[in-house]
Amino acid sequence: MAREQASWSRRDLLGGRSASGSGAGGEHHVSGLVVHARPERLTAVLASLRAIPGLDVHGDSPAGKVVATLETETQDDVVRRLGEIGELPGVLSTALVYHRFE
Amino acid sequence: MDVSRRTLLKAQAAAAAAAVAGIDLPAEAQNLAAGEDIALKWSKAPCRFCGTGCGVMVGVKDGRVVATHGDMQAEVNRGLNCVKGYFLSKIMYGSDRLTQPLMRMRNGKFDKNAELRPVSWDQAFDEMARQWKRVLREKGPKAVGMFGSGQWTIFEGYAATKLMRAGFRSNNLDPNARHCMASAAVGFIRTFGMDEPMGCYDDFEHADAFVLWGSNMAEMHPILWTRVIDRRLSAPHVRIATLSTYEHRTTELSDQALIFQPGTDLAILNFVANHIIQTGAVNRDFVERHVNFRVANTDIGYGLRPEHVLEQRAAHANEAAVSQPSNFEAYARMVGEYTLERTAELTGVSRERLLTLAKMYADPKTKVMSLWTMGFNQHVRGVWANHLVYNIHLLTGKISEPGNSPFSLTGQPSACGTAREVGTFSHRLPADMQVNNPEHRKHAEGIWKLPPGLLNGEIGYHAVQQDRMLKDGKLNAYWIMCNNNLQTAPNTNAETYPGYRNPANFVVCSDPYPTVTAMAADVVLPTAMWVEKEGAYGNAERRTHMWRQLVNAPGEARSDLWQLMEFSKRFTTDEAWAPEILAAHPEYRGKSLFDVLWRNGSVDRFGLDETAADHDNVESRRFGFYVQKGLFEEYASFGRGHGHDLAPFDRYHEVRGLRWPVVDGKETRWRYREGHDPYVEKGAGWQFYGNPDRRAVVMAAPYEPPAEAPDQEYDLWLVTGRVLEHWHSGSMTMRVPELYRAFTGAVLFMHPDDAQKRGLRRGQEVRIVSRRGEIRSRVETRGRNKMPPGRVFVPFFDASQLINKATLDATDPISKQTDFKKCAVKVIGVAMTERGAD
Repeated sequence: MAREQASWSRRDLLGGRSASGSGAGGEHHVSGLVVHARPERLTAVLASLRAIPGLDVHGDSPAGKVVATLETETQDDVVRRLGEIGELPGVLSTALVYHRFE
Repeated sequence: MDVSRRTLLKAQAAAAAAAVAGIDLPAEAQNLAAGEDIALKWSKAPCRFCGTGCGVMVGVKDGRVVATHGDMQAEVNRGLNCVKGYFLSKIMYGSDRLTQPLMRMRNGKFDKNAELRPVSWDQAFDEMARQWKRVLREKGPKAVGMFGSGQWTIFEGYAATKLMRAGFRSNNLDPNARHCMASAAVGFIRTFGMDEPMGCYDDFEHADAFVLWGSNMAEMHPILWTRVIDRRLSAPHVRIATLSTYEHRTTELSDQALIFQPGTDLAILNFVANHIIQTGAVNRDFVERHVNFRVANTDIGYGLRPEHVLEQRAAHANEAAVSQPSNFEAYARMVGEYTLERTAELTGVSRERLLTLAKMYADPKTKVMSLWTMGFNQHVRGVWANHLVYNIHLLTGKISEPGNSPFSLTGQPSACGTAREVGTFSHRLPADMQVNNPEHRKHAEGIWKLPPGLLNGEIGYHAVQQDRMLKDGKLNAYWIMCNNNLQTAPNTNAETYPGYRNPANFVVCSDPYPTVTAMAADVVLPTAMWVEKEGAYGNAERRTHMWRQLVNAPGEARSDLWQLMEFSKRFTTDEAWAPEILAAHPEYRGKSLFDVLWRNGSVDRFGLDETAADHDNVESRRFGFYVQKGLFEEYASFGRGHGHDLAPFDRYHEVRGLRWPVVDGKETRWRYREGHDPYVEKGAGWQFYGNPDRRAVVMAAPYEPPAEAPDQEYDLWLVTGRVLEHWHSGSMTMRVPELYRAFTGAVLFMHPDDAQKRGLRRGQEVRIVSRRGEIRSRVETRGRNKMPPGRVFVPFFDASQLINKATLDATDPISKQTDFKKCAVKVIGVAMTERGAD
């Protein structure tokens, strides 16, 4: 049974509707990250990381791994900060392990 | 939020990350499971995206996936996730999810020129069946076809192959995996007589050197990249060399980058082989015992339409796959032409870097893992590129043991498990069998309980050929499932779109979202995705893994498996099979395809009581038996006992996947090697048992140029590919707002000098024009991809910038895989042209 409905055009359906809505104000996002740095540049990387707003370093290892948490107001910021961390000189990889928001 | 709550959440996040990193934190940060997590029901599943096959834990609350995190128990990723995997929970909840079938309708009837309108499943299937029957009646099995997917579950691929080959007696079934790893698959069969890598991801922890041939692993396989990095940093002698036609994230993080002229990787590979021979580094004993030499036909064309001048001119366009027996001396003479001087000149890579690379392979003490993806496979000589890298590993005996591993990575979650192992290619049957081999067809007819002689021995249309035949009106009833081919096929404006809209054709597309492909189809079927169904995937290291249905699909969306099986009910054998077969075997007369394909005493032999009590299973409930288990066990009987052994179905629901062959309950990590692979006889050392004489093939093949190169007018090389945030055509990731905003639209990566020469500024709108078509984009001269002068890169995820309007439909003539990495374009500033028009 076909319900009466306006026809579906490509323009209506593609892309645009999907990108709506960013995180509303008042949210609190907490992420757990593992950042892997070149060991010889670990000190510099740690300093750069600590300068990122909302980022706390919880531990590191001689192999260059850093355990960090990131607190942000929106989920967009999670992605943005992650991109910034990935671009830091001496950073080899960045992985997300945990995310929660309330 | 109060301070203690914040502290608690942070402690949990830190504890999770620390556990994964193997770092001890103070004791107060150890409590991972918070009280409210109990409200979520957690289950395992493989990630929906790439071929890595990471394990994720999926948290469900009130019938909705609300959280995912890396699975600590999954060997592949050990708790880590990339940014795409992190947002997996959102891929099913895009605001434009399709929830009911759509059909082009006018005045209550199908009309190809009308707009898509909602219809019922019955209306959609009735019209489809009417069209399929008309085409079968008028033109026979050759005029029906299906384009499937390396993202299909194993069950879906198996059901599709049965429905197409046994139901409709057509081999016009091909997966989108043709576009991504056909060259690798064909290379494996031609070299080892069996598909898929001999090694596995454990090689990452054993290799002394990693050589990446055409793979931007840091962006495209980020979790595997973390394993490479871990190895590099924990063992200081380890080195990473990356070959590419431009600089990217991976070349930046490597010890050595070799940026070469497009297509000349073939010369580098032959140079490395030549160096090995010249320096006496050939492992003579290995070569004598385990290797055959062959020489490939050369001048084999470019897989274009036969009337194209390049095909007319090629000496062996019709014998591209032919090769002749040869010997070591002849092989050494051929690669002897690739001297250091000539190779440096041809490729643009410095002699010093070429030598350093060759020495890695030649040193008997250095264990080398070679890795490649689309740079090799999307190549007009992709099969040769695969051969040439095996040549190097075979000359040195660096194969099939921990750390010595030529390893083909895959881009789709089940390119291996479904497209290759199940055999959804136009020339393949399950377990590496071939449709044009009468013995193989007979074997399949036996397992499928079908009358002898039913299966069609003619190889069907491959992906690019399907598009050409649609356009030419020779393929008329066509079903596209689980892919977005109008966006991802080459030269789409000239070769793909015209076929979809050809009045002679009826085109159906099944997808969760209104992709450009769906919107060009005549019927759109809404599809259940990922954990909305029970599924199984096979990843790049031969790991088969399964998941349960965790949530229900929205509205009337149904899985591809449900669709394939339900559609089969609408046909009888008399309507689909040749009369002479039914005359010889009248017991099959008048039965529905549903009965002969699925109610055959094999697929339907497990009852609903065997399905999981705490999970729904929409397909099994619909059809009255445990569909997935029956399909899997029938399928597995193809491979058990001869090197493709799969474990019993139920075991896969208990473990985080197993790497086949699984013999006596144990998985196999390194194939063909004594002590690791139970199929290798004692005292043999290595046995490449896919070939009758148990030897692997060293194939001599030269460098041959790409199909199209820049000239005075079209003066730039165009390379296409992916970016970290988006997966393939973006139909899922573009619907995750965070990923969409992280990389909103495609851009043209270009060298600043090239931009300046054309009077272009960063961010300016430009036209990218080839001989076939053009798009508009914006110039990017900084950022993650650094192009050498003369080369530009455009990602293909963006539906509003269909770069495949510009690409060329040249394929490897052996594998039929498209070369998306090399064609010629020009770039023109939009403001300038508009001024010119004034």
